[in-house]
Amino acid sequence: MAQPPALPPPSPPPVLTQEQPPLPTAPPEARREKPETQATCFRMVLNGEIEAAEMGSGGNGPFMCVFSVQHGPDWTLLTGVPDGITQLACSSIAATSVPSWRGGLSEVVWSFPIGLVYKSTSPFGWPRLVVTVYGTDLCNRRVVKGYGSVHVPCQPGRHTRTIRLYCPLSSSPLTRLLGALFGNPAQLVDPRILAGTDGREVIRVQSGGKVRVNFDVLLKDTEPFNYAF
Amino acid sequence: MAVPPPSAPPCPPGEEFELHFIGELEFGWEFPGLSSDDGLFIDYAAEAGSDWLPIARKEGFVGQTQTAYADPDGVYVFNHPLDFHFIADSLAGWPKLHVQVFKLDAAGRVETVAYGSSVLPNMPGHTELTCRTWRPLKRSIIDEVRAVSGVLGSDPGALPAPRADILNNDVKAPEVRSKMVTKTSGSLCISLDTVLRNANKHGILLQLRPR
Repeated sequence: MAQPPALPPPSPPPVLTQEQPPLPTAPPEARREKPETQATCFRMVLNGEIEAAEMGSGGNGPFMCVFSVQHGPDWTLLTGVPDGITQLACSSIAATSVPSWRGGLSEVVWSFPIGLVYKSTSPFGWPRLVVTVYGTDLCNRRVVKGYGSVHVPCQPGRHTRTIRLYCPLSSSPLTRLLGALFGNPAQLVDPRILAGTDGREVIRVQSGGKVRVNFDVLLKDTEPFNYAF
Repeated sequence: MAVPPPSAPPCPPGEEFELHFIGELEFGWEFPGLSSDDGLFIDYAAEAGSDWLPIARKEGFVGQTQTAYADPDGVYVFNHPLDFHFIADSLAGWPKLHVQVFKLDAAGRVETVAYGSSVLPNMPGHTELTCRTWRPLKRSIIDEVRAVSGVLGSDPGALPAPRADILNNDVKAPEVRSKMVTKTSGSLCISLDTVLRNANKHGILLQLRPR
């Protein structure tokens, strides 16, 4: 975009253009940039959607999903927004009346898109999706209904993953009661710790609920690294 | 030529055989004899041969999951992220995941519920491992009743030798395992993606799989 005005000055010296013909010509330049970087890092293009949830006994909504994609130290996010908040969604029929999981009307559907591009030098610290599902309690206050995380699939192609959710438990019955009364149940200060192993052993959780996520993964420039995915 | 000799440092830097296991210790189910007040947690360790070097974790890939309480279907969700990275000088001693399932009861007591081990996948791709687990039975009925009833000081899951030796069936404990009597316990679901590096440079044949 800024390139075409800047081009005419370098082109007059004919020696330079003969030595490096591809560089000064304007249109292929964007394409020529890539091969230089290809030996140092590979790219991972992640598309997908947070499709639906079934909260089981948690009711039929409304539910909202807050998510973020976490990655390790070797990874760099090139484009895209790694976190987001979905709409508040209700299911069409109550969860208990239809037991079917896949594609039922008892699911809460978000279909919230994700589109990210990463670059990295090592699969260590492969990105992970961390989801937090919020619902409402009897007094219409927003409370946490479940946490969960899953790693982004390492193979190119389309993958469907089911994340099983869990809710932190209060450390004593009294705080549990107070939390329920005041609409402030136990929750994680920073859900991003779910993408790691540190500090997980001190959490006690109640299992329940599922979120289904679709991933479309594309890998690029992995050839020089000689990885078999 | 293409295959380096197995002795000391044959690989130029950047051509070592590397493995990544990326996934989750997802959930456990069908654990018998637990009440709804009992939570489960897992102590795990990725055990590999002496030629396997764990990268980024000096102490090796060990850890403990959160304590999970069952949902109405009896599923305990651990959702514990696993990200193992090894450099291997030898293919002997392929890494295994050793798990020990503990129970935390309402009184705050912790005791072993089960042991399990599962060899990690050796082909690239996605694998859903099911790790079946077992619990050692006591030698006499009286000890067994004491252990199950939870009398203080009796751990139903005590092993006669170190855990890693028994699960590996090491030469250090050859006679121990054949003298043990065990009982079936629950199952664990482990979801893993395996990524190999430089497998072809070391002459390793990769399984063809449909994409």
